[in-house]
Amino acid sequence: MKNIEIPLDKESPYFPEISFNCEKGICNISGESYMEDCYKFYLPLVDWLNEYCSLYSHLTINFRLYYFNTQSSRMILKIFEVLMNFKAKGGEIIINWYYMRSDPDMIDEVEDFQHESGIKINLIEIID
Amino acid sequence: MILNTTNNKLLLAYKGPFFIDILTCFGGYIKKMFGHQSQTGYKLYKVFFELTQNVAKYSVETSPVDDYKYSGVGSFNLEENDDLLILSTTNLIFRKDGFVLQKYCDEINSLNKSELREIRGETRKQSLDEKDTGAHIGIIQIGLLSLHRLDFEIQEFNDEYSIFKICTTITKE
Repeated sequence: MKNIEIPLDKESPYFPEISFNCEKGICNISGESYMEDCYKFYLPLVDWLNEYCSLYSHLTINFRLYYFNTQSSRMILKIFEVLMNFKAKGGEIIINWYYMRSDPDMIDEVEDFQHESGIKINLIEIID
Repeated sequence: MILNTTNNKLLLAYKGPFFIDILTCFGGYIKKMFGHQSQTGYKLYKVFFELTQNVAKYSVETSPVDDYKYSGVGSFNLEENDDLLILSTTNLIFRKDGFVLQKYCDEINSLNKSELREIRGETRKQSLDEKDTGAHIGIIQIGLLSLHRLDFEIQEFNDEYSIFKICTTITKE
């Protein structure tokens, strides 16, 4: 399967930078996420993860999102649901969520993602 | 009842189409004004986009352009006093939708933080149909970030439309 690489575009900063690498088994989502059509942007990522999870047994996914709107949060939850299914079928998954010390609201967001999806997320503080 | 803002200092104001690239410019300015290393700055930035993207999607007054999916027209004001930042948006809505919006805002104002987190989770799990763009969850998020009462006003404009104004406050660190 092919990797997904979407570089950061300064002209459209509402799209996050994406790096989904099947050889390394590492996925990165970074930047901000508040595009007009979240469903259209995230659906290929969800499809990629579904395919990856059917072929491989390990995955690490890193989130470094400074901001995401509520529509993006619904698609992020969709990603977590895919990963939870992967884990339930015996897959090994590590999810790291990096957040800024000055943004404690992000801790609540991630805790709620954990609660709603049932999957463990490692919260890692960044000193800004 | 709308918060009396007459003694506040106006920091930013805009009236026109809420295209995403315009909102991005203002968001960048907010980052510079308040820094992106403070809790106040983070909250303001997030509330700004939740409020304004609701106008972009749901204002019945639009200024369509091929480049943008959402072209809602409205206005926003960002004001401050010694203790608070006050962000408000105004846009046209269908009169028939006023009742639903009032219900959302009243509901959010009646809930504490834990209850708001719970209802956000329930709302978020509802249909992820791409047509469902979730104004409700946006207002819940605003309530969670602000932790202040939402002030809102719905004024009848004519037989078909009303003017919806919503105002949120953020305590300065």
